Amino acid sequence: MHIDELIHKKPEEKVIFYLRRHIIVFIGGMLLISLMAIIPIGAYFGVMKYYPQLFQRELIGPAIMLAASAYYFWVLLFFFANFVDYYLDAWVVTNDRILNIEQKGLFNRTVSELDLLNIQDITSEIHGVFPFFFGYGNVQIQTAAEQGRFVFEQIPKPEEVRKRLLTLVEEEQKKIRSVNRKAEEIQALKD
Amino acid sequence: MSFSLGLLLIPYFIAVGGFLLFAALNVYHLITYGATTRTSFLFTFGFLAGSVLIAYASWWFLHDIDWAREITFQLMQTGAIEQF
Repeated sequence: MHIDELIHKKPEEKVIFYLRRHIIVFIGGMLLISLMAIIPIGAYFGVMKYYPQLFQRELIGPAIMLAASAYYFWVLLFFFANFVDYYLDAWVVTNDRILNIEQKGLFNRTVSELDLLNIQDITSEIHGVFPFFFGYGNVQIQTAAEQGRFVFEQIPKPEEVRKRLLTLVEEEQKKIRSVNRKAEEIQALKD
Repeated sequence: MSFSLGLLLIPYFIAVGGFLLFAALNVYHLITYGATTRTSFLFTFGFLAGSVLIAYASWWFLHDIDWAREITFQLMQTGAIEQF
């Protein structure tokens, strides 16, 4: 993904890291869709074994074949849509802000951003058996504004991400403090 | 009561039309939002190849069916289902 184009990077802004949901979340969805693809094949062999003349019926035979064709087109579409949904959801962390790019279905896309200076608290959490074994979870970012929390969902290594975010916030705060100090010193010299 | 077997093609083409529409929207999203990477290309290629394969298999199974044939049956009669 061309992140620079997507986030309209500021002149001195650097992308620190880039996150997506854990790959296992995507694979889980794909397994479910694969199961959808396998079930009719099993049903076909079952029918062929116990009631093979069903496909010879002048109405039922063509109707089943048409339904199966439409069904597989749509299963393939779910497969692709699952990929698109996974691939277009991302979180970009720069040295200045955090961007949340979220694709919900085909017609809803949200891009929101949060200044690192507005971060008050960062929490990482891993809930459940699968997240525990595969090492993924959520990182919740609490802000001062009423807009509430910013959540990185199902990302790999949430604890590590939390630490890196805290470091970035500290660096940004230090930078602002030093700029303010310099401004005060200049003001004092002028006075 | 009778109807042409070709009538079954109407819901089928509606379903395929819906598939084409949503497929185009998905590809459009990938391109518009800058996701033109090797991974997205591979998935798109796999998706298009799969679509062609399903279309070919459908044609192979359905091409020799006489869609103009009239299907006649009587409802509410013993053996009506068997008649299908």
